[in-house]
Amino acid sequence: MKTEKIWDLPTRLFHWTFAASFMTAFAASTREWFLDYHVMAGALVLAGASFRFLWGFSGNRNARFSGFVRGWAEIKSFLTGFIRLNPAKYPGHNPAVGLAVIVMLALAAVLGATGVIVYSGEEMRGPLAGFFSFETAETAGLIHSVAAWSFLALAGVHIAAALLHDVIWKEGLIRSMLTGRKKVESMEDAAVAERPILKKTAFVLFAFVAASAAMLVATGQQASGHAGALVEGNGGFKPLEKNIAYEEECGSCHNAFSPTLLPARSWEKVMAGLAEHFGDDASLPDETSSEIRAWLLASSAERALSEPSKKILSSIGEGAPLRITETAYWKEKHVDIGEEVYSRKSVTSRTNCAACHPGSPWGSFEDRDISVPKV
Amino acid sequence: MKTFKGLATLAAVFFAGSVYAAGPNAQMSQVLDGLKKEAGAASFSAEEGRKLYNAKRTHSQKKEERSCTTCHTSNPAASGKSTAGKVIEPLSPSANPQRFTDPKKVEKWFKRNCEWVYERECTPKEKGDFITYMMSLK
Repeated sequence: MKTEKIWDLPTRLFHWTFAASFMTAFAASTREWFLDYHVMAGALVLAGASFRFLWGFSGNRNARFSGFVRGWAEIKSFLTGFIRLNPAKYPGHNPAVGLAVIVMLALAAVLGATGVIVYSGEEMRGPLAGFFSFETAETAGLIHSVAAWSFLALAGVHIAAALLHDVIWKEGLIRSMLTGRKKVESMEDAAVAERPILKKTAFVLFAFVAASAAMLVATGQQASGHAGALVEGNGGFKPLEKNIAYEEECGSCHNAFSPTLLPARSWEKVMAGLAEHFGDDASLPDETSSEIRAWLLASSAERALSEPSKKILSSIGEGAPLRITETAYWKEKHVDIGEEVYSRKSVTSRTNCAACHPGSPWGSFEDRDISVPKV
Repeated sequence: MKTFKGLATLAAVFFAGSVYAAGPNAQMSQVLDGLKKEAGAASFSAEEGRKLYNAKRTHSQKKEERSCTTCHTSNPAASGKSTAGKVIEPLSPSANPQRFTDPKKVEKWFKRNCEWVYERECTPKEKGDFITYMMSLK
């Protein structure tokens, strides 16, 4: 037995960065308003994977794919030994981990690609905002979460196996991923060709992907300056225009709800029933009423290009709800908000969208903008 | 455009403020004169306006007590709250100089809110008393 340098520094740095950024991205996906952190951490995952891919052809021999990617027969034989608690010893990655590395890198690539699609098509963010359709983004989102859970499961198995190696067989595996050194019985001196250019490219790629992500988030930030929802108009999409009559007439008694949050059939119903409007007579002169009606219909959920519009629509089916807060999507999104929050002084009511969504008057309900007042 | 709007608002606020200091503006004086003629009254009474503001009445259909104070609170200089929970800026010009400067708005809200509280339109005398009461508040 002798102690050998097994892992080169870039491989070790990659390993821990990859693990930390994945866990951060996963944790940040649990709350809407962590979207920026999610995107940044996710980008580090992708940057790490890109780096590791090139490093798999240019790192030291234990880092190279040629050093640990094995055929199915060898993987099976290793796993059989592992189950009998007597696994074959490998100085670097064993054949099972070799497979896991490939799968994790592939999952990272899938996560990165689908993540970009969701960011562009569902969040309407970044340089590709709106490039992918909302429907494409929804499918991509599904793949994104399946891939993320698969990654998490694989990471769990990997950690459990590493603990077994360390606790039962005392291989000092985890320590070796920090120090780079491990006790090995023998290590054949298979020479590997130096590939300095590929090595450098690996680092450049890492920096490039990470920087692109920073740019993605930065441009998203600009766009969220209450840019507001886009609605159909002039053969394309244009920002939602405010309507003064709506703000003055409707907005005097209650929040001037964004027209993008209900379908045209709901607004028709509301405008036809103003004489008995939630128990009050809210009738308007014909002229005003038809102006407001036309504006509401032109800006209704069907015509709006925004995530909540699409999701509210699909959550209500054929229904024509009169209250946004009655829609299944609204309820699902606010399930964690307790009654106490709505009674806070600066909120006063669940109909006060702007208390937590400052961009709501512009039809903007950006995840990053959400801020629930403390009092 | 934005700058223009900002300037216009500033001017409006300033103008409204200066008008308040001098009592009702030209347009509102005209409205008050018109109401006086309609009501056949020589002058309006702030005291009557105060009573109207604070009067409580049970709605015939809703069976609930309603008053101006339901939404505007018993202090016209304080912010109120609509039945839908929206904050209403103070009604009294002393706290909110833009109040009672635009005859169209004044008429619109008399119509809507007299209906809400009294289930009828308000009479010219009531309107005149009400405006006079609001203008008299310091």
